Amino acid sequence: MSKLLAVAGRELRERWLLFPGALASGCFPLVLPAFGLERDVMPVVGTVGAVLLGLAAAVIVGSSMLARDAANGRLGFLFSRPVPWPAIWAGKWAAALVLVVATGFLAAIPWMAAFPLSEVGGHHSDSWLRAMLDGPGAVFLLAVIVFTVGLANFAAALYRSRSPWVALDLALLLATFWATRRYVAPLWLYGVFNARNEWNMAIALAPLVAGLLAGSVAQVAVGRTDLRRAHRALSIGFWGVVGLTLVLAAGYWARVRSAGPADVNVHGVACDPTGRWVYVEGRGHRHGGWYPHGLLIDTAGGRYSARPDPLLDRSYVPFGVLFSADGRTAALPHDDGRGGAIALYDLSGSTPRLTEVALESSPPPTWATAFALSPSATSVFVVHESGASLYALPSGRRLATTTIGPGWRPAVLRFLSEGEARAWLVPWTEAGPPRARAEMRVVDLAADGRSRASTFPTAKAVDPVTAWRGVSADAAGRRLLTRDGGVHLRDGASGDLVATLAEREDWLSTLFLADGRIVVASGLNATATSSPRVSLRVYDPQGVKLGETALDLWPWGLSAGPEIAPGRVLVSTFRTPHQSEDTIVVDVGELRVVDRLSGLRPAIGFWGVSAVSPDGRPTGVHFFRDADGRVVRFDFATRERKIVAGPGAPRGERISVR
Amino acid sequence: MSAETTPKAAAAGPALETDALAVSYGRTRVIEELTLAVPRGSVYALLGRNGAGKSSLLRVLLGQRPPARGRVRLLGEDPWARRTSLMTRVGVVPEEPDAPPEMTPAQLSAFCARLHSRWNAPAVTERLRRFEVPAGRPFGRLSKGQKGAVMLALALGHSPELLLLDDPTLGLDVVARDAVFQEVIGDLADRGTTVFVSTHDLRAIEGIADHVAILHGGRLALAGPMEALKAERGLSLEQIFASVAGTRAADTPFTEARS
Repeated sequence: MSKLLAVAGRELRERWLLFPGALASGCFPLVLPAFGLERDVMPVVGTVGAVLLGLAAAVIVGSSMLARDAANGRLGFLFSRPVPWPAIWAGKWAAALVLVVATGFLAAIPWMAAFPLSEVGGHHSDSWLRAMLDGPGAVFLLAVIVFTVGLANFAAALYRSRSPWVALDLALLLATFWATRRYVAPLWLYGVFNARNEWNMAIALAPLVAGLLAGSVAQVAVGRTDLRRAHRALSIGFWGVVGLTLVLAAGYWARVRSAGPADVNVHGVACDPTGRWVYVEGRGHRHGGWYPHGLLIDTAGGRYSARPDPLLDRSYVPFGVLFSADGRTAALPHDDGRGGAIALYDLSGSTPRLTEVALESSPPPTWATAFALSPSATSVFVVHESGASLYALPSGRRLATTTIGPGWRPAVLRFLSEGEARAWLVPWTEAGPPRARAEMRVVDLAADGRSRASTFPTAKAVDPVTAWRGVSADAAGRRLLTRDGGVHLRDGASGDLVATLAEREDWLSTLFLADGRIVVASGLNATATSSPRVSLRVYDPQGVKLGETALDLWPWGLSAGPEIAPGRVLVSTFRTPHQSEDTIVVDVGELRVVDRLSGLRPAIGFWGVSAVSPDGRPTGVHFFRDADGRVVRFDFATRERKIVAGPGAPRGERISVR
Repeated sequence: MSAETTPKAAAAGPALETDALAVSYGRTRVIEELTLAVPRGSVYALLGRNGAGKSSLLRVLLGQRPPARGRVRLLGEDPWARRTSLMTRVGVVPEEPDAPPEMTPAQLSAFCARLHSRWNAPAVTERLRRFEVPAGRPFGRLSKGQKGAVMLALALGHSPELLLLDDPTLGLDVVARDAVFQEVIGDLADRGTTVFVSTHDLRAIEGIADHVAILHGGRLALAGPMEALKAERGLSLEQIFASVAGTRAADTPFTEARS
């Protein structure tokens, strides 16, 4: 210890002029009022000055403490005496830290004394000292100081050694930037690290600080007085720690991304009309963070493929997957960095194949973008805030486009035929002026370039979000149900009112059946009745009421659909995510419950995509969630239940689709 | 102490020993297959032209860089592994005086006293006085001769068993050169210190060295007792050096490259 102190003392003696210099510069803010500046400016100027002076001291001390002494031969004086290298290393670092911290403090003392913290409404018992030493800020500041000193030492060794290793350092620096963006940034972005926010910066610096300290240890222990050898040792020590950190981060990131169907807490499900392929999306329950795992699962054998990674620097929008009518094509809309894109899966072969399709001149998709896939998957219809376009698949070529004025967002999209699509839009006040009247807009677009748009009036909705999410259309796009002060059946092309199916908006759910009939489920206000009840009404295609029955269900989260067989409809409710609910099957012709699926409720689909079966036919296979969050495939023909995702699901085989 | 060296063997063996030593900087080999032994109590002169590898050898002897190959023992110990303990028994005068420039000789002596368990401060002060070095002047403002004198005084301050001198008289005038060697001789007379000196000053060293080795092209060209070599060949040291190294060392400007 005495040798360490001797080394540190010599270092301090060499640079003692920093102390009076810092104290003198700390007086600078005191004279500012003499130049006409407000007195309130003093703490700001003083703080900035003290920080800058401290950092300058860190650069000066860091760049001279080892590399300069090695370059001018002065390090040999210590190494030819009985001073162990740890004492040389620690003595020099201790002196450097004392010099930097003292420089900053001394530069702050004069104006802090003249301007107590209490005068600027401070806390921490109104003490500058307490404020500076309080909590993560002080740790971060210390990390910054060590980092700056270490970096200056590294830069000086790099500069003074002038060895070919400098080229390697630069190459490794570039590689580190690349690896950090690829492996470390996602861990932060997706919250895999649950560090408290105020510690984040200090934690981010920790590997660099550790690397610089380890490097300087190697610099002294191995390099000793030889500058090039010292630089090499420093370089190996630093890049070793940084590399190890990156390897650990990459390993952990690979582990996060390796999540299979059994590891995902599913929040969204989309399935192909045949019920063989299902796309699930959710967070990994044993893999940390909120990385959106997206898995396309073959329920026949348990094979699965992970979706391409979402872009790091873009807001992630969970569009889910669109399937063609025959279930042989799946399309995953996403942002490829240049604009809208489709990951197109060919599911017809024994192994799926993926084709990345960039949509020509398509803006990046947002939360206000909607997609629909044509029944044969030869085109995709995209509607965003300012336009609607049809794109050919798999080329991505834009077939037709039409503009949409500001203040609209898409609610529902349908293909009227292979080359013609329709979108219904609702007002979006975030992107346009408030409207004088309640209205909606319908836009038709054909592949040959024809387009038509019209606005039609609606009743005023109680809740704009419900008005947006509550719009539904039949599979052919000919009729429309709107949630505007009740439920209204409208002509799909003009928006003209056909019939009013409900006059209130309490707990409503609507469904078009394949034969054209309409089901409206509505809840009675549970607080107003002793027994919570749901009413289910059936209408013919023109909105004429055919019948009504009461169901013994809680009305919260009421959902009617889908249709699992001609005239047979699933009805379920949803109270909490973790509560088991039963789903009942209602025969709407006979108006009676014909089946009950215990502990299951229909899995939730995705927003922003038209997930209705493209040809509107009922499908005999559906996907449900149980109370444990598992996704269960249920075949109504065979009554087979199969867990396909979530805890207990088969591990399955991960397949590459490229 | 290294595992392969016992204290008894260390005390009985040579003060300095190399066996098939190789030193390299990257791919450049500066010393190859060097085997020599310096008897205890001797004054051993290492001669060589510029770039012969003398300074590189001294760095290895001081544990400041490891050998590329071969074995080095200083007072029976491995200088790379046991540098700290060895430096309590070894004094060093480097080719370029390397003391901190802001410290005065008196402060340097006090600083070294904190590093050495045995430090004879009065002896250092006395030597500085004999060399007529101003004790209160910062080291950086001393003349080259005075700096060399300070380094020699500091090297002898802990009464080392082995003194390593790397061209200590380089750039000194005749008076200062004589003072350095007189001091070495004086210390030898006092305590029988082993002296290993690399030098170009053939005339001065001829009078005090009892062993000599000549490095040429990174290899040991010649080694043995000074008088025996001279008698065997019937030549002066200068003539022997010229015949082995191909030139008079003293005529060659000293610009040995440091890597």
